[in-house]
Amino acid sequence: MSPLPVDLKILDYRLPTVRIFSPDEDAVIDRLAMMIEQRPALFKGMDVAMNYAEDLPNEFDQQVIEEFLVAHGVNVVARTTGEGNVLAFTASAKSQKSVPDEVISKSLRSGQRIYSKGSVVILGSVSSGAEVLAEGSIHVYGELHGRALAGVQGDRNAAIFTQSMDAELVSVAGVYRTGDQLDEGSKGNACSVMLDGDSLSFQSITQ
Amino acid sequence: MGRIIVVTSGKGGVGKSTTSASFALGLALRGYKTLLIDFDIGLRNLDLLLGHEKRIVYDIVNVMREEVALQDAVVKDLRCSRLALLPGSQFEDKEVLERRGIAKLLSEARKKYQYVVCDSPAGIEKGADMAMYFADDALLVATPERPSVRDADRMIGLLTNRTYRAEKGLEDIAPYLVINRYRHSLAKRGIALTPKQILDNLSIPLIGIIPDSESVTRAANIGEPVVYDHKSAAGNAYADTVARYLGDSVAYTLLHEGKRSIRSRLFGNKRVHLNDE
Repeated sequence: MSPLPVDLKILDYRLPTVRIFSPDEDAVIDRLAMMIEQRPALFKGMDVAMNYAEDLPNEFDQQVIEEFLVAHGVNVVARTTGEGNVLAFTASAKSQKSVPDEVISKSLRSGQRIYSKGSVVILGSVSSGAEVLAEGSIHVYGELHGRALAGVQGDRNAAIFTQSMDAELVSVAGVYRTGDQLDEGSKGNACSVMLDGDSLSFQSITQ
Repeated sequence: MGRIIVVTSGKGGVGKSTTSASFALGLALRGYKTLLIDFDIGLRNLDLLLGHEKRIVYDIVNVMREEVALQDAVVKDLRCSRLALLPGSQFEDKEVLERRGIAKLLSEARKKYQYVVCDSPAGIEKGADMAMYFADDALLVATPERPSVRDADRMIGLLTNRTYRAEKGLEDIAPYLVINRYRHSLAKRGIALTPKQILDNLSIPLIGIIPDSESVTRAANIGEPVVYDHKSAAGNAYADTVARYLGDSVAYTLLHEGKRSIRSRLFGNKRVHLNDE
């Protein structure tokens, strides 16, 4: 058992987790305030799970702790207890978490590269020699001739959609395929690219 | 230790990349392990000329920053596995190149390849500087026009002053001239410069005269260097250029575009045999 009232760890479910050991809310908040003050950029916008020690008293005020975190820009996305059993995914946190889709109204020319923190919608085409990087999904309403890398921070649910597939490279969560290895059937057609296990799956999009 | 060859011209649009692609593939077809490096950061083209644009994962900037090993970044040619391309980056600009990173990259390339062909960007700024700095040999590409010849002359001056060999007092870079887009009919009528006029001006050894040919345009659009096209006069001229670079003595037989001379009709044009894979 940690001697601290609270700490920050990455547990099995791969979320930074605020683990609370002390029944003293003030001590917990003081310590959190200190941690946030030391590295404000780390905490700002960070998704965390709460983990409350099993031996905390019933009257322990979880809400005041979570409100303190949220007030400092931390997204509380899950509440867990003990060894990490998930009690609840917090609904309020979810709405804070979503980053609005970025919409690019033009085409991306050769040599241009964009990076999106969320999903990105490109209304034009992506030329040969252009590159789209997104932490979320990529939607190309025009033709995709360049490179599209979705889920670049590891989001395995990210996907790529295009009205016309002719990419030089596609990648989802680090799994990539170069343009010469694309499915024959997908070339020039509307198609989606998703991660299926350890490989990419191409699906044609039909009306 | 491999030899580093820079393909340069000073002037843009004279056919540096076309020459680099055919020269490098020509060396590979002659049996040499060859690496072709695109130094034109931000305006890369060799990937298209070789038909590799859909096979690229990494580029020269990734290797220079040591984010990936050289052998993992190069794209092997499908026609001839002895040729590999290190693509330029399309997203950065020439300012990202720095001498230490390039030195490291080239010294490694030298160990793994017999020839390293560096395609220089136009101009005399940083990109061109980086491409030529460590070179042992240089191919100067010039078209039969005075602006091109003057820029080539300027380039030869820089090669003998602003390079590693010059700064360390080593033996000078060996410059070789390739005359590109040559049309004999124009030279004969005094409209274009003749090879003799160009040579009088530049006084460096001539190793190739590439006829102006639609097969070069076709080659660029299908992504296959023209040297691979045995039916093309320009392709054969590049094969001859490679042969002369390697020390073979090959006569200039292709100065007439279109119709073949009586001699070549009787005896066939002298061709360097290409060992295809």
